[in-house]
Amino acid sequence: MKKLWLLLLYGLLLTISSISLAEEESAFNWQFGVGLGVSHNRNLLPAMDSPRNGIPQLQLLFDFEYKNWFAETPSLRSGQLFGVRSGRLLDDFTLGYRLSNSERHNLALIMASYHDGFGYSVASGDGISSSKLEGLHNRESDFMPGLRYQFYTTDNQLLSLQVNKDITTHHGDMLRLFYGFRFEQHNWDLYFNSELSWYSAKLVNYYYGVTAAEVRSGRPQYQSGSGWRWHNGLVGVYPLNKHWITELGAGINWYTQAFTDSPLTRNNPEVVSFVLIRYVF
Amino acid sequence: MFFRYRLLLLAASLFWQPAQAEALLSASPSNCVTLQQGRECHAQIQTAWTISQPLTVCLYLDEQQLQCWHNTASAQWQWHFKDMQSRQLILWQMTDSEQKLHVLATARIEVSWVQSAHKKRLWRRF
Repeated sequence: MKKLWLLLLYGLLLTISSISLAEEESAFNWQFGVGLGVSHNRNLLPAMDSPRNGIPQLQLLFDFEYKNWFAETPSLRSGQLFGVRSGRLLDDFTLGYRLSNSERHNLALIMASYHDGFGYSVASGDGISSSKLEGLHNRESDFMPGLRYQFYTTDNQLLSLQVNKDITTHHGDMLRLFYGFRFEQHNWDLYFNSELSWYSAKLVNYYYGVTAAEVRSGRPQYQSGSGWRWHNGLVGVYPLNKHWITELGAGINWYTQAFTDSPLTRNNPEVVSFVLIRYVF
Repeated sequence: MFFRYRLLLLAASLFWQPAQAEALLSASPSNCVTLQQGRECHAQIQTAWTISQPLTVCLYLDEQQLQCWHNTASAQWQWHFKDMQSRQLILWQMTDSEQKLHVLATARIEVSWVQSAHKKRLWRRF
């Protein structure tokens, strides 16, 4: 249902933007790219280590701004590289509406799915060997509207604070503090990003808890309190020619015991990396 | 008879060119690409030039003198290009006192970009 919402909202935004494009071209700022990339992912959930590791995948990028509306595509989220996943097109978008916007500050309402679902049948659908997930109920992807404040302290430094609440599945909360620093090295753009996230107990237990019905040999019941994640990542972008760029990145995620004590997870760290080439229109 | 001489003179004038030093100048790469318009583009440029006889020559990037050679007929030279816009590379024949005499050859270094200046740079992250 939330995917449908996202697509409907996205369609609505595109329609509004297209209609107004002729009248006010300068208000519509967009970037579209199609790329091919390879990623590698040591997932916190060992059962979910992607069988696509090392296999070239399609990557779509479509960001736009129209007046106060915007959409963003991350290079990848949670270690997933591609914009097309399991037949779900473009589901890594963040859609937003800026409540206030100045050169350095902006405050926006945002909506996105931050956690991919998993479970016995979901994993099977994604082509993942799911014997370790047998007996687990399916965890659904979430849909978390929220509020985000961004502050560009300089042209090359971004500070962001956001709070989100899921409205469709676990109804948990998430709080994120992000700091990013961009530096230019010859023709490279290099981004160092660090993010501290807090997750409520509802969210942690929905994805990483084990209910009495899910208990199996080697999988005890598990319930936890809230937890934290600390992400550090480096992303580099380099122009190959006027239309092609290459983008590569590596990131490391550390989780608190609320996550790592779960029988579904492995020890820290979670490691993600990717390299891609993209045609920019 | 007179007509025949005039015909010969006409034919000669069609094929005769004033003596001029043949010169070749190349720069590789000749295109430098940056991520965004208005940003300095960096490239290691390999330059090679050849002229038919040894001369005193200087290589210029538009008005900026890069390197000079004395009594030389060919050379290769590498330097670090750093600029926001396209530039002309010019091989000048110089006088002994290193005054510009005339242009022997030119090559162009084009600066281009992936994204125009008015487009917002996306913050890349996981």
